[in-house]
Amino acid sequence: MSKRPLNANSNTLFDIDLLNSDNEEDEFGSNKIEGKTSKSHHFQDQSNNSAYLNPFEDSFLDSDLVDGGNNKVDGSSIPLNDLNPFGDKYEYNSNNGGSGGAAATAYDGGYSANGAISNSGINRPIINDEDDDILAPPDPELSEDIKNNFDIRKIFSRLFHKNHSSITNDSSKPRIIHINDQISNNAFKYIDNHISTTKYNLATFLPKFLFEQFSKYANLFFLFTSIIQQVPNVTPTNRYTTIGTLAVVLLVSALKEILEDFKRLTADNELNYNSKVEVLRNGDFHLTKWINVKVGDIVRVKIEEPIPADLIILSTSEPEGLCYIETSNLDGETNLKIKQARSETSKIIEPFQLKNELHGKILSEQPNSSLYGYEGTLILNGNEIPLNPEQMVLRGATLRNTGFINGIVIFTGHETKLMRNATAAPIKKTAVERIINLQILFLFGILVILSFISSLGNVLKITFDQKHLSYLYLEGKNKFALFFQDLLTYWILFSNLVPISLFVTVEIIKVYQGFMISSDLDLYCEETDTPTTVRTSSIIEELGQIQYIFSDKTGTLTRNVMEFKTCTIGGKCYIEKIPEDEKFTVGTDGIETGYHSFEDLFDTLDNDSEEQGPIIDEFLTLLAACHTVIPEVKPNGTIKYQAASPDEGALVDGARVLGYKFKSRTPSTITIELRNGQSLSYELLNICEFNSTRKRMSALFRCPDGSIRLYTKGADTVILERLHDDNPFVDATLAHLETFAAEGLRTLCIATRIVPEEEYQEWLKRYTKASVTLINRAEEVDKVAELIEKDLFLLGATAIEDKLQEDVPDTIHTLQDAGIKIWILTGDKQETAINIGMSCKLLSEDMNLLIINEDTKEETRDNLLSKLDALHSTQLTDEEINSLALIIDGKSLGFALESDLEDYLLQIGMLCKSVICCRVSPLQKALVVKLVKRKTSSLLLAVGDGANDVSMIQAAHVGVGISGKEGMQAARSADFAIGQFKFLKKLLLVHGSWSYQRISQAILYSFYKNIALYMTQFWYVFANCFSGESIIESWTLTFYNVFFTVAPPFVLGVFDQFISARFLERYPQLYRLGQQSVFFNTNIFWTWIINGFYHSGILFVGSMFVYRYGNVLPNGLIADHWTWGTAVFTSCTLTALGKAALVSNLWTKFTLIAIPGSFLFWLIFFPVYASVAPNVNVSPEYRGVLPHVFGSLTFWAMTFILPLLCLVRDFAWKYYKRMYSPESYHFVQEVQKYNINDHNPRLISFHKKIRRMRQIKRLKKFKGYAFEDGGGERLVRLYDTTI
Amino acid sequence: MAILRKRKETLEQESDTDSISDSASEILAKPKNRRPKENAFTQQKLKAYNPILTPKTVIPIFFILAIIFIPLGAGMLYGSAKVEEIIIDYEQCENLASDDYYSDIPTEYYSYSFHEELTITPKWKYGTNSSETDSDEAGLCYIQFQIPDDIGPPVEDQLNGLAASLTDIEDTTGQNCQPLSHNDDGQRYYPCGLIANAMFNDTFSIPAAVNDTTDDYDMTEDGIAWSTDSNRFKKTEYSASEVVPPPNWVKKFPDGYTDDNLPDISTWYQFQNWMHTPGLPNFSKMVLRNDDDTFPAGTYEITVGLHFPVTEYDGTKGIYISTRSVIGGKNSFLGISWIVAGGICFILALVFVAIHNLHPRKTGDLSFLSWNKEEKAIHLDEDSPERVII
Repeated sequence: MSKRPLNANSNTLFDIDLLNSDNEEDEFGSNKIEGKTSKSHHFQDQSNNSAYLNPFEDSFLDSDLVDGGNNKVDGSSIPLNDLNPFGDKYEYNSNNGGSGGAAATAYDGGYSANGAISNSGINRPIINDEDDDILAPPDPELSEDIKNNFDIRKIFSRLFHKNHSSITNDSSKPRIIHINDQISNNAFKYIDNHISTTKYNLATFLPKFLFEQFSKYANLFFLFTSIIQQVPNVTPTNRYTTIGTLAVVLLVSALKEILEDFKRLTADNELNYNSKVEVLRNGDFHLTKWINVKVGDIVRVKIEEPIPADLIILSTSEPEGLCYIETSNLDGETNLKIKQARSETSKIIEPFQLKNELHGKILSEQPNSSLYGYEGTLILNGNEIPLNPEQMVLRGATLRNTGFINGIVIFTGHETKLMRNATAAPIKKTAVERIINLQILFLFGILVILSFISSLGNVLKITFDQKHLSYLYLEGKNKFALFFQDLLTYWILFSNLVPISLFVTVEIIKVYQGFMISSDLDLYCEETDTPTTVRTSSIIEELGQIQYIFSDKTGTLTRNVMEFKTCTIGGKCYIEKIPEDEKFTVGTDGIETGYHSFEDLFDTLDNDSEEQGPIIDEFLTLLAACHTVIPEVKPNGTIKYQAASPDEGALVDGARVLGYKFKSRTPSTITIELRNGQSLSYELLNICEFNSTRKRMSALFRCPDGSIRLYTKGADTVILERLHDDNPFVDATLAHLETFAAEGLRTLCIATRIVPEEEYQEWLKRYTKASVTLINRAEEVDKVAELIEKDLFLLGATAIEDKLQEDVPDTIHTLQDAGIKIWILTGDKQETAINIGMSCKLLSEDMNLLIINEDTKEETRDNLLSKLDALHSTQLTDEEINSLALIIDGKSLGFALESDLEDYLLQIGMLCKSVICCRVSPLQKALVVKLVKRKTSSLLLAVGDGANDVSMIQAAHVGVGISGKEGMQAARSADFAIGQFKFLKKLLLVHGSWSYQRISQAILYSFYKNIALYMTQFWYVFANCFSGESIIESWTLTFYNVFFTVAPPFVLGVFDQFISARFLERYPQLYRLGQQSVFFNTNIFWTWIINGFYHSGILFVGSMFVYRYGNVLPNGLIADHWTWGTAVFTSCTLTALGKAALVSNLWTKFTLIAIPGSFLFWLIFFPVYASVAPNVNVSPEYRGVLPHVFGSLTFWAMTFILPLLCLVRDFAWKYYKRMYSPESYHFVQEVQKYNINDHNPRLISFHKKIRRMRQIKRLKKFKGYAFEDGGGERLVRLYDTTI
Repeated sequence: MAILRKRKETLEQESDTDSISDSASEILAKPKNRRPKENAFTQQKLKAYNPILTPKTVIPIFFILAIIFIPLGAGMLYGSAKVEEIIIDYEQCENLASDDYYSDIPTEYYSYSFHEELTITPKWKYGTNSSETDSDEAGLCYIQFQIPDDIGPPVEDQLNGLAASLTDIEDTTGQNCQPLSHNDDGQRYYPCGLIANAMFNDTFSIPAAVNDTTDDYDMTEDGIAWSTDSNRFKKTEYSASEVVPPPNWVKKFPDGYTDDNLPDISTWYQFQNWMHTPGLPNFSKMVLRNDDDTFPAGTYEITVGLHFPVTEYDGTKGIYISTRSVIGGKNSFLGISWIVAGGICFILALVFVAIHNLHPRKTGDLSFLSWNKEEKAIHLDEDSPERVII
């Protein structure tokens, strides 16, 4: 355990999520691990880590036992497993017995350990090291973290968070909560329900802020410089110049930090003070602010209200203490989850009951970050009632479909699981910043070398030339001391090689760019009124350099809205609106292609004579009947279908549109209303549920005509296997399925059978027996179900459209053109994922799909290696590389991410144009991102909308959250929050490219201008006997950065557009400039630096010749040092501004203000300053200088000629490069400027044609099917919606 | 037990087709308060000019620059050429010149620029004059030189100063008297500091006519200092007893200050000039000027009192008599630099014209776009048989 990284808590949120997908469990079920088998709920055990290790096993098995007991007492006929809301998981446990469950949980424990240590300082999970090693996937963060252990920030943050965890470090004892007894609870001093996500508070602001600032090399350097400057007799310039500037820089940064933190504070206060919940006080519920909710309070949360703290449900408004919650903020899943109060408390509903009947206490586990685990005991009237995750609702969830719940508060504020899972967003550094930091170190090196040369020069000079320097009275000076004093003097003199204002300039530019992004109307989502928000402005320019996009699917690419799109019934396709040119035609083989309209369907139905009519009737009845959807009638009479899977809801809704309205449900019947208003009632006999192995769902109904029908829907493969030999529509249906699949629709085959009464009775016996068996119950039930699902008659198939977000295919296509590789990481199954890939144009029919779908690590290795061999052995053409796509399944991915295989995975992945990872857990999402991040130098962007994407978003260089339906969690932890996936296009191609180019120019220019000016100082040391004298008056030097050249970096950084937005979108290929770091890299950086040196050389030498002897004033007087210095300064300012003018691509009015304006400002400023300042004893050097500067023709002649001499090279070179060694963007600039008609659109259409032809040629390989693991029979048996 | 209860209409109910219209109208009714402002500034569509360097703009710019700069440079060069000057270095006078008679000054110690040739070489003679001071003998250098032509009022009689930079003298901030603030007895130096101490104190007579060819050329100290210095240099408030002269001034003030000889720096123009430190190691300071009269042709003699030993600093000193132009003294660098800049522009213009004609490039030719090149390549392969991997 000691090897575990300390900061892995970001993973914790998703640790157990792994278990949510049954695949994951299978994966580890195969490992033979000794898990914990105790099912005790006593707290002695808790110290023995049971809660931690074993959240699932305990909960399920326990609920099983207890509920089973109840059932016996109640004499209920409901099968035991029906009480388990997580049907499939339960079933899993019973399938694999203890070992499987234990394996899964141990796996989980291994992971949670990471979080537990850092989060709470509790090191409870005691896991056998061996197990840990076997089970825990290799931790890619490990090496990174070891490195980071020495990061001063880390140490610092650890110190800071220490006191936090100390509150809860008494982990060995349970938390005791007295019900209805606030006075006793107060004794425990539980923390209140206040949450704070702010970075600072009044006390910590200064130390924390200063620490952060001074961990930047540059700031530290300037602090050091300003300290040196305070030493008397060392500084050649005014002693306050550096510290003054530094103070301004820090002040600006501080203001920015305060503003940002204030926003967070406002958001916190919104929750703390403005959200209210009903709390039981003195026997009645009173609205109370969230912050005043205390541990032990009984609260009533009403429908659609968010949960204010972690609660144990006592009772609800629903039958048997059930309630629905939506946990999308916590785990990203949009489907509703069911929680249930203990039966002992579920009848205690009214306030007076709560007050009078509830006396006792709760022994609860200590706060921890495991979202799915909970252990506690409710001691009520002396009875010990075990509590498990099923009674727990967490802060962050929302109550749905349930009138209200009464719950007792267990954890509040920062002890809630939500907050314990919240990780501070990691500080991200951009590639440009990294280069700058490195180059600054080099510049420091240069600085030291220059200082050294100058100091040495001074010492040598006064040693060897001593006799000539008697007027300096240097006798008795210690040369050694002098050397070091000189070193410091020169340090100060040259310190501005690193522009002090650079960081604050860049910071402001980025904030401003962020503002521009959020102001962009093209990035504003009209429907939801969400503008794009920039939450981490410091990484904006990375948007212009992205090479990989990792995208979530649901809610990001798709809307998670399933729409019944079309269906094939009896060999005919029906669709609401027939697409152009696709009206049905009958092919030579008798198979129809194309569509009929729904009107045709209605006509057929109404026309009894056609044989198609009964088939349609059967088909639609099946859709309306065979499901586990619960209808909810709204006050206005409309029905809303509550479905655990959106696909199912879409099918039922599709049936409704086609006139078969599923109306109500009782535990044993369903009612369907036909178009003519006739209501039909079907008796629900049995349901054979969906699961991933069966891939189908069946329901047995006694129909109004008395016959028993088996209705089945499922994946084509499983349905086709079970068809009766005599099935007329198979060929036609298959042909249609292919068409649907090619369009990316999710398909299901629909089949039916009339079951003879005797067969049913026979079967029912076996089924009942199987459903009460204690060993491998689910397997037995499946086997029995198999028996009746045979000889089916295929009615047709449905096609559901997983509606994409707006413009997704176009966006993806454009981004791919921009050279960005797109990886989709989805929890969907492989087939679904491929379908979506097709429909969003990530995959096309002509692509070579490399599919990795293996069950063991060895197989995965073999598969990867064989693919790699194949890829390496053939010489791939560009086109072939462009048509590679990798599809990898979550299980294989788990193996492939292990350290010995990850390189293979990455090699293949990097070759492919697109990659789809299916069935991945949130943790794997992050691991994939981290793998690519670690192994390549590419910049990664992760985009997602759910809380399950948070770890991925935080792991990537740039995290983009979609403020979508799945809550705001992703948007809150992301660096950028957008309203729609399509906004990525403009965000990256336009704002990203702009930002990258702008920031690059601004930074390079900032360095350049400083070097151009300050290097004149260096040349000067050779003319002044290495004395460290400054050419230019010291405040003027400071003002150079503060006033006279401050504006150009800003206009370059804010207003410059090297290519307009329209053309950047039109030529996505321009994005490669950023990916290839064309505008900012080490070479470019140093060419700018050298350019600065070159210019400073011309300026110094030129001015020296012009001001030779000083006899340059036309009135015959002699110019002094400062006259010359001012002239040098003026020429240099003009040169620097001229350079800015040369690199400006766009001249707005602001550019005019900034560039010529700055020079004019100097021309006005200097006379004023030089006349006023010396009189108040500032800059006394300027006494009397003014008329000898501005009044001298020599000054003006030099001011204009030296910049020209400097810049003529830059100008000619710029022109030469554009004309004779041009980059693509040069052409685009010309196209843009001269409105040249480009022929690109023609090329695009040509491409489209080619693609379509290929698509037709190719075999259609993939068929999709849609189903989700449903809510289960238990649920539908509970509801009676007719009351 | 019904779960169907009245619920708030929420936006999440979009999946309910029947209520879409309701919620949609609700959305519309809701004010769009987070909508960004729409204006040219926030949408980054400000009116702007987009400069692109094309042959049509660049080549004319170079020509125009050449046309402007070359003549202006020529003008400055002409102005500088019109300046007449003579410089005579006399730091070797005491070593090389005869005590008795005038000898020719070696050519390396003088230079001149006159419109007419000199007919005699400048001569010098070394002498001493004990009347200069009581205690110490000051060397005198008598310099004879010829003005071959009437030249316009020369402004400057300058000292071509010391090779070793005197800026060193200035303590770094320029305001500090260290290390010469007081003597060992604790008496303050006035004026303090290395600069004042190092003041150049050779004395110069006005050019006296030799052989009565002409009259003496009258020159004055008035106006040799910056007019702005009258505010800067004020008579000291120290009494003579409070201060002592800096160590190097001992020769001038052998007995220290008295109430009579305490210098009044407000009228001591040479001192004011000295305190304007030069930026570069070779510098000049004005001693005498004449703004009104031409310097008639003739032979003149200047008597220099040698007080400042430059040889021990490895320096040189000289007399520099010059007329002036709009760009001050003679300095051809400015004119040359303008001509050079113009010339570079001109050459570049020619080169670019040549390149443009030899290798013309169409502006905005899309076929040059790298990806269009790629596309072409792809199209060529179009017919190649497709290989299916795996």
